[in-house]
Amino acid sequence: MKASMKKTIALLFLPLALSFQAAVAQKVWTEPVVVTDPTDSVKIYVDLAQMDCQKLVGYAGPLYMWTWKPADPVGGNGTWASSNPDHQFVNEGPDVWSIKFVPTDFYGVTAADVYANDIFFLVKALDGGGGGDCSAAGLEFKTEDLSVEVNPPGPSVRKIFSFPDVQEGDSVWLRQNDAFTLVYDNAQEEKVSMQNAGDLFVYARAYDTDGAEYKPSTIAQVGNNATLKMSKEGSLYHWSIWPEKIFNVPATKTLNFVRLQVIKANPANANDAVDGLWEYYFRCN
Amino acid sequence: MLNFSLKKEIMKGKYQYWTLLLLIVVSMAACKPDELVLDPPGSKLEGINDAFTLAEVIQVDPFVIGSGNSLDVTKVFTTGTAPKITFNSADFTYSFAPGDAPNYLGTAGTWTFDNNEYPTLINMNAGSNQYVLKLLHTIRPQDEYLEVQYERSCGSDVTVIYQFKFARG
Repeated sequence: MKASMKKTIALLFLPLALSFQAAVAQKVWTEPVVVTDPTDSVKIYVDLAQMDCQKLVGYAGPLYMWTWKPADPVGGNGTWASSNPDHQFVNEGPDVWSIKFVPTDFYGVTAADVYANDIFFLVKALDGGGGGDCSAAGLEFKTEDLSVEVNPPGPSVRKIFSFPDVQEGDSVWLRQNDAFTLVYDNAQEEKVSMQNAGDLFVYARAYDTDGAEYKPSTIAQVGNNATLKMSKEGSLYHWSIWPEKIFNVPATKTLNFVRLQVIKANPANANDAVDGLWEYYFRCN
Repeated sequence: MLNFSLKKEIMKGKYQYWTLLLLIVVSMAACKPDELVLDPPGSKLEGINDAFTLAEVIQVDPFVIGSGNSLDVTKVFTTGTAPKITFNSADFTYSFAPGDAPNYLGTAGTWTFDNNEYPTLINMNAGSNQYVLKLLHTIRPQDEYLEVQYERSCGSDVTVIYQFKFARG
């Protein structure tokens, strides 16, 4: 193998090797990798070999979790000399241990509490010992304080969405006399003919629970109806409505869902419309 | 004669001393700051006794945590004739003219604060319908805006929240 080829291969594998090393060198990691749902189970791994406190390196176990945030655990930590046996770690390999639990259940708190405080803990032997020295030569059988960050899921990047957001698929928990907004982010548009669009409108139709259709304008007239025009701020387009009024739904009728399409003022063909129809069911009617 | 002059000098000195002392005392008294007296706290009953016109509406999605959970939907409520609400603190009646906006509060009824001195809620009664508005800001005679929050429920859950900002007048 030529030297230049070896060098190329080495360069190709270097980032992978470095990332693997970074992953291996972690003190704490989780499954899932990013914890966003504290009402679901999370498995926390610790690598004792990476700790500043080296007292537990090579320790045969058992090992226990001692935790205080987001709150004291429902079952308590036990005492420093005798940990709660329910909080025992599982040995996953040399110096790697894990514990699995549902944060909201384990701590008896809300998801918001977990988001606000994260999870703080340390690993200790059944009897944590004492003396304040957790080095290999010390008598404190524990790690330093460790933590797992828990944050709500970030806003997913969506091209079109509603406000308030949908719940359970395509349902919004609104009545026909609530404010409803369709949001379109043109920056997410993949269709070349709709990128950097100018004025945009919503071709809107609504259906009551009897199946009758209501539409403020035909598709050819949408551009002449100012109430169907979206407001624009940067790449974001908004269309905020009072559904009952804009669709002129009779008081005796109940709005079931709306079907919406974002189009240019005078659409000539499919190139002048955002791909897809968006339907929102009004579940609180 | 000499004795008389000496006595006169002594008397003159005493007179100057007392005059100087009097001047110092008067000056110090003049420098003493006036007593500060706080005005009585503004009456909330007086503060709300007025007509208010809707100026701003923020819709809140209670299912979204953190940023991105609110949106300005003022145009939905103020395009055309903006809603107007009038509170009367003498007979505790209110009237609401929805204008061209959706009406969540009935058209007329009675109202009470949960606490007349430190109100946090406005309880509104329009016949068979009751509405509760949370005060987002105190409402004294000098406050320009009446800011309230109205929560709408679907079943037992609050599913949408509106924050209404009414301007006095």
